[in-house]
Amino acid sequence: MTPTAADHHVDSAASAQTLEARGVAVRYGTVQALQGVDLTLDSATITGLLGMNGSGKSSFFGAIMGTVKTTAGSVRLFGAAPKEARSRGLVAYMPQSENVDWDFPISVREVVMTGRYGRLGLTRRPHGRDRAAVGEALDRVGLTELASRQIGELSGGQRKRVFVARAIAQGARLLLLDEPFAGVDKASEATISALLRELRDEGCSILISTHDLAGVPELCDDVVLLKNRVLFRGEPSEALSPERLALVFGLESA
Amino acid sequence: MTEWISWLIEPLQFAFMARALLVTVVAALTCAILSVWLVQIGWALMGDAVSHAVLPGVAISYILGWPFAVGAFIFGAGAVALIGGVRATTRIKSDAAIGVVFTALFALGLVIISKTPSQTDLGHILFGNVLGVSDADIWQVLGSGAIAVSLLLLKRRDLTLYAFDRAHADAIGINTRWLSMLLLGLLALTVVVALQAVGILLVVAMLITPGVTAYLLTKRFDRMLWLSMAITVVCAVAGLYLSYYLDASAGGAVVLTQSAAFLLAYLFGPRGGVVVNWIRSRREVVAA
Repeated sequence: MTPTAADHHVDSAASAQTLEARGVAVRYGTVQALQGVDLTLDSATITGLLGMNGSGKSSFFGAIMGTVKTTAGSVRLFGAAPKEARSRGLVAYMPQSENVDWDFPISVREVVMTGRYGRLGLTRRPHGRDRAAVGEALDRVGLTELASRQIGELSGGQRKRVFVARAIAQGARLLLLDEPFAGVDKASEATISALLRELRDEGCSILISTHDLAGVPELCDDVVLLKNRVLFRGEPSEALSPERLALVFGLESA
Repeated sequence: MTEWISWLIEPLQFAFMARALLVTVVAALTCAILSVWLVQIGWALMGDAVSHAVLPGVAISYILGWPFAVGAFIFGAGAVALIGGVRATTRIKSDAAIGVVFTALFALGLVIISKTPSQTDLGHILFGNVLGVSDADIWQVLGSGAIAVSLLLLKRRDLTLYAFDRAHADAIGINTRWLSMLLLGLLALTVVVALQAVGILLVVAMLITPGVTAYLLTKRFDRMLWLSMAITVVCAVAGLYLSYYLDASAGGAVVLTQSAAFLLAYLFGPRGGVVVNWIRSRREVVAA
């Protein structure tokens, strides 16, 4: 049996680095948001991307997702051009709570189904296998019973789990989470962290953007300190030393 | 009973009323469908802008003997492009960019009409002339309406995703630039459809009111879409009959009927109707 094109894709996705950024720069007018960012991510790791507001975290996410134009450097995802990786559904994104319209007339199940849209045809009409994938994803994050609720009717932690379920239904291999623990109580944070560890153990690479240090040491395998460029990359215990934090967050947080 | 039936049938014995009913229902339905995405994305002002900006296009069409839809669409789409251009190349805020472009185009239309011989009636363009539509007008309305409705329904899931979570659409490789251009193109087309029915000044009402009325009634997008369509058709028919029996402006009566539906939803709607909320809060006070 000869390997099909699809097999080949999976092989190359498994062997190549999840993310490979070389000398990435982003500029808005006169503001240099990112400068010379080199960053590689392996599969099966949880990486914390720490920095203040305005440190370029969102710009870096944007560069991966193709919403922000890079002014220099290159990004490769799973050994392919970012556009190709995105079209294959390998990249999932969890928006920051304040960027979501929680009054939007959409149910939990419908949001999770949007994770399947990349696989669907012109009208995005779901098939049986898509409904099954959505059902499994909801089950995994424990939201099956709330699936028909309008998204605004969920608690802070449940809302986040909707987007984790969407990433699962999508079958993504790189998860970009923007402030996943903001507005979430401790119990929910533990539930979400456990879910993320499971996904990591299945081979997913997870990049968490946050300015909140609590929860980082026990969850992340690796930490990147960002202040418009990469200041430090390494073990959480080393990254969170007072001197390093002073560099990233300025004096008031140190 | 027979009185009712004759009350309903009497206006339709006039060919102009039957045509008016057809044009009004098609226009209102097209607007109602687009409306649900327009109000969720926050493009109500864009609807206002495009509907005003088509005035010079309509005027030029009359002068050159083109189908009015052609000129109107060119200027509608042109307004969208100009607004995008001003926003991209200056630091002017979005609503100001919209305001400066559409008022300029509207003024250009007024000047063109004032300088041409009187066969173009400004009043008809501004306030609609649904009782005087020609066969050619009807075909333009039906053709444009059919294109707009089928594209909107075909891409409705993508448009809803675009309205709800554009970043996710980008992350899974959906071309959101293309989607926003599609939606703006369809906005221009829908304005063309609705011009005949209610005129330039009230098109925006048909683009906003059905969507927000349905939004007050349901938490589900699909239901919002169907409700918006159903309410609009009822209002279009009711409004036209009202205008016939009261001998009032047809466009005005249709929009006023839609506004009345909004008022009912606002007062009694299950999702945040003010009367419902007031009763609920009273009950809680009593229970406590």
